Amino acid sequence: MVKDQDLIESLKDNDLKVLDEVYLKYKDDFILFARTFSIPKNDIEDIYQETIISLYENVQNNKLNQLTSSLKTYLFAIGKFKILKQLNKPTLPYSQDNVIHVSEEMKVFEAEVNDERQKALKKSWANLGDKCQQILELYYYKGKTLDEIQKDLNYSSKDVLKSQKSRCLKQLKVLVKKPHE
Amino acid sequence: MNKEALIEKYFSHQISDAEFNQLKKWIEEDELFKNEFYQQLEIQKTISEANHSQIKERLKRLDKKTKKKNTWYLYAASVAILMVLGFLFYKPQQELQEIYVENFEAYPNVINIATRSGLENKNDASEAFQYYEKELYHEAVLAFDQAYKNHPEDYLLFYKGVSLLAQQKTNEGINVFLSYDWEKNQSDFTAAAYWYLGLAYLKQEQLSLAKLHLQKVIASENHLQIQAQNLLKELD
Repeated sequence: MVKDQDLIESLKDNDLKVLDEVYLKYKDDFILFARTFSIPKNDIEDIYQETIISLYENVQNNKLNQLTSSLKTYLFAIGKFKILKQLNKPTLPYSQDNVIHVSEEMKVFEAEVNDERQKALKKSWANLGDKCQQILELYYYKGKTLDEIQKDLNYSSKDVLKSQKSRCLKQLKVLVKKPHE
Repeated sequence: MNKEALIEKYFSHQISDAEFNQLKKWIEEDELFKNEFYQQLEIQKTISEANHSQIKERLKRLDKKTKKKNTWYLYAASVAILMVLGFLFYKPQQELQEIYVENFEAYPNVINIATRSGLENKNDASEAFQYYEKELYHEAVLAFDQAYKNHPEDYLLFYKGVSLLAQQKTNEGINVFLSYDWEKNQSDFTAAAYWYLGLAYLKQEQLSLAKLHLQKVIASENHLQIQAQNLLKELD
């Protein structure tokens, strides 16, 4: 477990070789684990890659600082959520419902987004201004609070930042609605 | 606590179990809140995917690489058997040159196998390997060189080095092997590169350098370590 924490520290320093190592170390076990959920074989590798990416992001974005279990247990908990998500995926491709997957164990909410919408979002995100990208990334991805962002980006007040943030969200919404050529 | 503050706590990973359950309850009971929160989760997902595509590619490559490695070990093992057989007929009192000739064998083409199974699609590289397999080492060197300029892959350099040694261009071969830091880059060919460096120095009768590299092979977790060990024993 001490060793596991060392791995986490290396990941914090963005040591991707360590990420490779972790990836290979638990891969076989994870495949066996995923099979017990009758997940199609072809999907398992993809789910496992997403699991490793989540681990990496959680470490990089300070969600995971200190392991309270073994790394394997933590990894498999993320993986299990992703497997269940896959199993509970809405069958209608254009479901109108906004489905939010919940993992109480990992304290995670995740939006179910269909491919077409995801594509539109991705494109809109790329077309969003730098300033907006920065704010939204710090808030939604890097796990920074509004106070921290205000300080980091030198906003005169939290309210100014807040209204800037909602302008950014609106801009993104407009971009998503716009038909793409 | 208001909803906005709880959402901020969620995204900054400061949410407690009780607060998480509160959030969950709101999602279940308040359609408006749910849709608003959903949109924020959507954005989070989009940013995450935009940021991690490189890592995804890296992991996919890693999968391919390890699959390639598996076949490589098979071939390495068969080379090992051939080399052990060679040692059974080993004559004592050999000159270093003779030891070199006896031990040197062009490395099997382990890369092209992967190409054929559709893992890589590099025309210039596959041309180089065709020359290599036909033992047209002069052409192979030029082709590997060109391929390496287009795709700087460790194995292209490795086979260029072997091709040079196979043409008795020992000095040039050594320079090629020394031009890349195999160990630092954790190349699959690290042990094999040291093996060929060891042999090349042997041919040049630079015994201490030869031994140094053979020792590195022995220290590796590679099938060549047995051969290196035997060879070193003969030299001592």
